[in-house]
Amino acid sequence: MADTVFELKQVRYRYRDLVALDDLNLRIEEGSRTVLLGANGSGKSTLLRILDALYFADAGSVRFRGRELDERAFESDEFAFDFRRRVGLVFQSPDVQLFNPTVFDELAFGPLQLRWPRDQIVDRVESVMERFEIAHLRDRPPHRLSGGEKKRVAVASVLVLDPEVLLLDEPTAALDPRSESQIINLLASLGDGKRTIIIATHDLNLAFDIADGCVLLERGRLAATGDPREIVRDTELLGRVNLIHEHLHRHASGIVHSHPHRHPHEH
Amino acid sequence: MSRTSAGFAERSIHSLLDAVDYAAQAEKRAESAGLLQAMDARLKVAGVLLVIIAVVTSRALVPIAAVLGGSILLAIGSGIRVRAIATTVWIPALLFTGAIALPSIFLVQHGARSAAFLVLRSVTCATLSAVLVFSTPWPALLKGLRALRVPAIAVTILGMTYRYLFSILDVARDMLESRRSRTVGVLTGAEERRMAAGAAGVLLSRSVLLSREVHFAMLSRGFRGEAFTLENRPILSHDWVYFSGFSVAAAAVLWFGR
Amino acid sequence: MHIPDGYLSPATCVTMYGASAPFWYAALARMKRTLHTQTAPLLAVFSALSFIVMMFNLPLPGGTTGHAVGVATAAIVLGPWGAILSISMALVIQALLFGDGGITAIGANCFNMAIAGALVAYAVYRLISGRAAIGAHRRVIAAGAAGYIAINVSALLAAIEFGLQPMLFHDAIGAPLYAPYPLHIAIPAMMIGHLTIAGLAETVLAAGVVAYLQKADPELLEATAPAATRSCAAPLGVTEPGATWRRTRPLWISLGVLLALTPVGIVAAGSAWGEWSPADFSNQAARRQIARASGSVELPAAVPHGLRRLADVWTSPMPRYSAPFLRSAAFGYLLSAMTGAGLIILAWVFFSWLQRRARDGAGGVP
Repeated sequence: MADTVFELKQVRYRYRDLVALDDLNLRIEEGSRTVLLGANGSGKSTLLRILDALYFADAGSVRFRGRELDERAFESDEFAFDFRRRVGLVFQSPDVQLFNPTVFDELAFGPLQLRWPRDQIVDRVESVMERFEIAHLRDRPPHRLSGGEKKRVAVASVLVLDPEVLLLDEPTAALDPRSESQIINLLASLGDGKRTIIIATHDLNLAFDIADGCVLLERGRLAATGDPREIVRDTELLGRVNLIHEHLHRHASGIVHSHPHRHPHEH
Repeated sequence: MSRTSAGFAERSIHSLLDAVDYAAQAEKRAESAGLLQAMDARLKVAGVLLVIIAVVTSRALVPIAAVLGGSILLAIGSGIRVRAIATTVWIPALLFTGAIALPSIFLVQHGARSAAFLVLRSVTCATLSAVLVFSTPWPALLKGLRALRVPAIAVTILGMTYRYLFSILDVARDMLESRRSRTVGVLTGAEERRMAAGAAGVLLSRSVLLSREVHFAMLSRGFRGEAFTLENRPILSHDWVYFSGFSVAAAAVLWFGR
Repeated sequence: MHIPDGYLSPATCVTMYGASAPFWYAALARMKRTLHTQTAPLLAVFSALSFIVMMFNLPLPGGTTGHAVGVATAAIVLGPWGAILSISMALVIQALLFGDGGITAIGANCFNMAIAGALVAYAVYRLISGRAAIGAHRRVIAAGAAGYIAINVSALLAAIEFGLQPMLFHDAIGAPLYAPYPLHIAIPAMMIGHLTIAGLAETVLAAGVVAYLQKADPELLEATAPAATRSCAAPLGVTEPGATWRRTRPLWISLGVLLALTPVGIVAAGSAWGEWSPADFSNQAARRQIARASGSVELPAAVPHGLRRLADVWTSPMPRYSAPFLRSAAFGYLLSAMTGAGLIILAWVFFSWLQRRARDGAGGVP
């Protein structure tokens, strides 16, 4: 029986007048690959940030490996450093994630904050750059990187700490098809049983291809959990939570029909 | 009624593009091979600063002119075309300082000599700074400030400022271009002012939002408020040779210009 | 108004760096205390923004265009300390990386525009806007006035720095080594451009941005409006209503001190014109110095009779109503006005403190 990495009980989070998450109960097992599925505004990004202890819940309990994640816990340097090393979040926008002057600096930022010795930092950064094939970009400032390069650097900058939990917010958004497939392959290669991966997305492809668990969110509440392949096939459910839509379309042969417009595999 | 033919949006876009252009040029030169490019940034910044201080202190014209000549030679040795320096440094400096210095020839006792000092000094210092900037990648330049005892947090913030300069430049340009394309006919002065203030306001709001997001990204990677810089290039012996070259030049200027 | 290298002597540059440094350090300490980890990204982004706004070619009433520094806008959104830092950083980037402004002159430029400018802008804005609601028109007017006055104060400081150069720094034959124009030329020359174009640009920007934010994003105005009625949303820098006076008082004091001390540096710098002793008449070095400060008019060879008689009777603790060695009475009045304003502010701080003590003593809660 795998360990529980995250356990959320009746979590509520408000942002000003909006209730972003309400009565959320969730359990994430070690080594799992979970997709948080939901339309925009469903609360999946907020949930990721709760998991990464960037937001703290107004009510309910959020536990990481049994430890409660609240503001008081993070007052301790020791706990904070340990958590930040073990849990990494790749933000949706690379412009937000890449805030250092060069690619090398970006990769070195995490280890520097965690006070690693200089030589260890340089070695680790070099090897991560090799693995992600970005060594030739080491002195490049972020504004001179292409979209795909930015994403690779963003993921690399989080993986340099070798976190046991990897959170990703819309990793395939705004990527061209080639970069998108690169990222998907990368994510597929990362799971080696020990690393826990949680991806927030509205991209049904991703859910179908990579995940072994699926959490469906609707307006801050849990709409469904279970096998991603089943959920993705449940068109009524997906339509209700606004992840797909129906429209008329005409084929070249002249046939006109309408059906829920989803995922290319199924057509 | 606005008398300028190009509207606010267009003029400002122009300035923004110039800045991006300047930055791109500097980056390109800094990454090519050359005399100064090979020198460690920290010692380079300190060395150039010594010479600039000496130039500002000198009470004689000839040493200043000598430094100007030396800067040009350094520029050539570093692959920086003299024409580039002329257009980006000399012409603006001469126009600006020249305009200011010209009346002094008539209004001030010993005005011609004083004008010579002003013009020569400002042009020489501007040339030196440009040569420094064109031969050093800006992240390295900012880190070089650490050698001058600038606090780490300030250097970190300056580094982020430089990095987000380009993000916000792009956003500003996009926004101004879309406003320009949506504008039909010539706007009145008041309308243009409102657009300008609105543009600044939108940029401000979005910038604050951006800073909040960046803050989360920093927290997520372990930021607790302290800044660290990593110097990944050791100081080599030829760096000290260069530095002593700068120091000797500075000392010579101070001596001959005392 | 970015002063290039070579306009200010090394002594002046060092003095201005020295004047700026305490404000930089104080501002950084304060920002870290209030915003903690949010300080770094907020300042970085705002500095970048300030840099870019400085490139906007603003349309001005009357058909001309101009550039604004944006110091009032920064002071209104970030507060004075944040403005000091972000405008300073924008100026540093401009000087270092874009060659706009000298490297030795960074201290002076920051002091004039970022420090004095931010403090004056904040003070004027708070003074005029008072307790007005966030959306009140009075705040727009306050912002415009803050921008205008702040940039003109900055220009005046720069003009003074320029004007002192020929008086104090010249080579062996008497040619000015740095900025060549004496005060009575430097000041009008600088002020004309700023009282008209640059001042208007600041006004247009500050007033316009505040008006825009009042509609689009009023929360950003709350950090500097602790006395106004506001919603319960969290502003950029947390302000507890009870601490408003405590927070702003040091600011008022520093502003008052700054203004009040403006003539002191000038007086301390050189030989005060007019305050001559009989001994100066025979001392060759003193005669040369006095001649330079008097537009090349030499002292008479013999000490005037009356001077000799009265010289020892009394010595004034402070120069007369107008700083004595200046030849322009108008400038003297201006300088006195600034000193007076500084003293008035300090006096107001003192009386407010007395009033508050009395009110708290009587049991009333503000």
